[in-house]
Amino acid sequence: MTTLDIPFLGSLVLCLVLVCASYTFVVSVATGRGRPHLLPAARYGALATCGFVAFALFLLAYAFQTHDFQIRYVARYSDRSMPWWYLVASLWGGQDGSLLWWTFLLSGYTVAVTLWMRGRYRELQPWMFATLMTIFGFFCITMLFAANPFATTVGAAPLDGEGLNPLLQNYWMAIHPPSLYMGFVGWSIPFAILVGALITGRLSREWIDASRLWAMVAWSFLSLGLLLGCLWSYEELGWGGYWAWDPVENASFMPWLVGTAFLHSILTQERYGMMRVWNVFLLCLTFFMTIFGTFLTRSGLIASVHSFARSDIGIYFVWYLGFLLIACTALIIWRLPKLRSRNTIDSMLSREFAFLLNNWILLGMMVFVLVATTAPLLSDWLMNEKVTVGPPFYNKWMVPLGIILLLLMGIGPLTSWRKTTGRGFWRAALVPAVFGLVVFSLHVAFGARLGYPPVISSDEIYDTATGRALAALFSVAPLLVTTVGAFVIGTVVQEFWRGVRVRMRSKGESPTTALVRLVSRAKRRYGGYIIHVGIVIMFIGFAGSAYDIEKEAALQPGAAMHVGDYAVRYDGARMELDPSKRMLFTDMTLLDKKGDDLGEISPAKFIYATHPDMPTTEVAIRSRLDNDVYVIMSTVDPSTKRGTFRVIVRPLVAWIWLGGMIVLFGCVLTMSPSVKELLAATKGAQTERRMRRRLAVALTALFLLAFGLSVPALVQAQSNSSSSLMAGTVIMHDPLEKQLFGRLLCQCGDCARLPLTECTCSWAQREREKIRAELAAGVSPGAIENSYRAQFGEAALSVPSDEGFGRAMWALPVTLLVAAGAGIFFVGRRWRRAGDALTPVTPDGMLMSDIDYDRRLDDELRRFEEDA
Amino acid sequence: MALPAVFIVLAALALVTVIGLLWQSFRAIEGTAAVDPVRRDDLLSPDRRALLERKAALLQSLRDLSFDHEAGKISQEDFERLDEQFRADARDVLQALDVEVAPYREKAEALLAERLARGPAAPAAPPSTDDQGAPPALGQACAACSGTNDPDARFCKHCGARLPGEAPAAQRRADAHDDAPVDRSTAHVSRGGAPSPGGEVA
Repeated sequence: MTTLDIPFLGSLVLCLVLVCASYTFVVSVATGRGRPHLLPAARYGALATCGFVAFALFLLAYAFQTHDFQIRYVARYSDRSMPWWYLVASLWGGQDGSLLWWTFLLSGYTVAVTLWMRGRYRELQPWMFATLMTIFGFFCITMLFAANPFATTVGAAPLDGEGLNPLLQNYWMAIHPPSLYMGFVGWSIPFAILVGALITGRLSREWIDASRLWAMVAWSFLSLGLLLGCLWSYEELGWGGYWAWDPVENASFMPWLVGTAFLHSILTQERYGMMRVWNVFLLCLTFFMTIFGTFLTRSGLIASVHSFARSDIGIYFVWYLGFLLIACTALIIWRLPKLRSRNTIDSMLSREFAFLLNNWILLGMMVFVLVATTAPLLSDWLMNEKVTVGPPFYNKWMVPLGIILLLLMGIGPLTSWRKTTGRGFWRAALVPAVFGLVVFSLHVAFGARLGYPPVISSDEIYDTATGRALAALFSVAPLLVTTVGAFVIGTVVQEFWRGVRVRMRSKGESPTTALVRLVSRAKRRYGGYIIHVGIVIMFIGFAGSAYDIEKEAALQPGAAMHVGDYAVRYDGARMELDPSKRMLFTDMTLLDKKGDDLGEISPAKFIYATHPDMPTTEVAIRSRLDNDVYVIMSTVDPSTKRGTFRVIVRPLVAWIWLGGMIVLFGCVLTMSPSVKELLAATKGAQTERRMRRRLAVALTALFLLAFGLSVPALVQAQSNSSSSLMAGTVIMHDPLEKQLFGRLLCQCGDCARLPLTECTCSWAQREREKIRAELAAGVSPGAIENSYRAQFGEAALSVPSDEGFGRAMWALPVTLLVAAGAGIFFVGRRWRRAGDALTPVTPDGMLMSDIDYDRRLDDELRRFEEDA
Repeated sequence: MALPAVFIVLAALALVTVIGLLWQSFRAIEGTAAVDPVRRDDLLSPDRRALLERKAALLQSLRDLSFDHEAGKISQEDFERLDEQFRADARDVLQALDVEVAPYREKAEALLAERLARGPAAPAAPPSTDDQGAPPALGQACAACSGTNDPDARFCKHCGARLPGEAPAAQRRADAHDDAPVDRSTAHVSRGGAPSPGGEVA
């Protein structure tokens, strides 16, 4: 019936995107080089490029809906039985389509930023468009030459498609990748503005004013994407955790860390014009990391559970990364004279210096993750052996860094700009510190009784002093997190309370009015504090993982198993059918200590018709604020109904989602236009138009975030129907076994070197039996690990040993961190001396004109106060 | 199912929009499209912009400082020292801003004095509702068409004939305009149209 040749048309449109982007690039460059009257032409050209991308995306969506299996991508990722919403989600389900989706989101951002800027920043605009067009061009070329979503199948079109991977057929697939992509792509906008500033040499505050909002939008979406990723992993993948330090997760975590550093560091430049080179570097690095992360995971260089098909797009990314690296370095070096600034600080106990330390720890974490993520590449290159770094390594090393970050989050708000005297600082720190100590003693006194002991036992990842030190730190981590976390919350509450009190006293406002006005007048400041509170609550959720209780058992219908304070009774199994799959449910009842009924849960297995060999595990979760009960059905015998179950009681997991929601609320608050800005809409048509545009942008962001926020609620409603990565399930008998197996990687050659705790292949099964026998015979885990290494090489361990390359894995980042820390103190002291050299002005030395200026300053201040 | 139709309609809409946008873009290159109004901010010289940014940052710092002081976050001693430092910086900035506009201020004052020197007749004249804004009393009449013109006009705006007027004064104004603190790369933004009133530099 259809006469549209979609594959041909689609490829043609991709060519047109490239042509249009090139045209816009040329016009933009002409605009920037002394033909400012061409700016509207560049702007319309950019919008037209976006239109073409939208056209291409809608064509692909149409092809999916009409089951045009002539297109290879459609045939691979959809089938006729899929409902329409999965057909839409398939757009970003695979490599080729996700590149188009990426470009589409970039179009969305480009349109938004074009409308937002309109007549402002007209010096920066041409170069911003030119930069954005090179990004469009890059993705277009990659699609056209290496990953064309409109490529046709070889031979005749198949009758039906292969269908989307059942793991991706869930509601998460519809929201997690778009949100994460929004976060990744979003950094293009601030980066493009920065390039504009570098080329034109307008490097004062202007570019920061122009890009701040967009950086914040990108950061918010990146945070939301990461959070949804955790949720997806936790609810769907059925292995019981939310973060596995998988390369893809790390790839999105690294830009988040650098972006966070950037958002803090620009505050110093706004106030004092300091650290200009550093801010430019941070933003370039953030953008670079978004592309680098994509490259790492898409090129197939590093194995990941997010297995995008290996493809040849890697080389395109290498070229682009090389180009970015050279271009950014050249631009920065060229503009170095203009980027120099007066670098003096008055004191190391100042807000400026606190931000410097914040940057230090965030970048330190980034380097750690980077080195560990690229370890397979580095070791392959240096030693011809692929060393993989597993979660135990990250979990141990990131804890101390995370606690330092948490501590800095508490100290930062206590300092003031320029200088805080030691006495002033301690006075400000008094109440939060006391609060921290109170929580510390409460935790020590009652923690164990409530099931949250302050000190836990921890295994050593290395059999050396380093390993013991890390283990010691890890074992007191819960106590440190609660104490430092309480301190941070104390500082934030104190900030709010003091602000409200001033307003109540000076303006005679009621507490609520004072709070609302206080926050609305300094949204970035107080929004930021709220984000801090969210992060603390998330940290507490992470710390809760130390108290996990896990148990496995085989049960006959009617029998129950006890886990922690709960009992789970197995009532029976039932099978249900729907057009695409068979669903095997096992109904269970959750009981508390006294035997009271807490409700029904039904873990399940789904067997999809298209992928009968990949039954998916559907976990059942009962989530409460104090703990989650997480039930996985491993196997069930169809004839006897005897089932094996794995039950995990995970304390405080809900705090992570709660903290995440608080973070997002803080983001919305920070970005939202104030009442004043909205009311200003009445001030003349020009302003009104601008305000309406701002309102539109803000409302869109709000809507998207609200959409994201409603997600956890929906999850609760449907937590009994989800799917999983784990086709089978491995049964662990005790924690010792779990720790040991977690460090040994499967060597079957088929899987992506999963640890023995996870791999379900027969090779891993055999190996587990062998090791269990050895353990039973009394061989120590360390000896087993060593013999495993001797047998299969360094690469067979998930934590590289503490020698040679393995030691370099942590020694390099730690050395960098220490060196940078020392460097910061050194530079800080030098800057301070430079500051001391400036002679202070005393009131006695004031000239008549100074008094005059002082009076004018007071006037200006009064006006400033009224405008705010 | 109507869904495929929705996507094809969306695609068609995208295509139509693209064609419209490209048309606009080509028109803009030709110079027939409307040109953006110039904003005052765009015409500021980088130095002046930097000074204004610095002033805003200092005012912000001063405000935050006094707020933090009232909130009891920083001690009296810290407050006094920091307040004085910020004020000293702010005074410098205000002074620098003044220095930059000083020549123009002098010119403006000279012009004002000149105008006042013309005697009470001028201020007493009723405010003009003429859209040119120039009081007729001060205008000069064209010899050729007898139309009124601005006092400093060198050519008649009605017929184009040369006026005998005050060349020195006009020259002075032209110089003043050349020296204005304007970033020259943006000063000639409009080729296709006249700059809007908002674009004038004070």
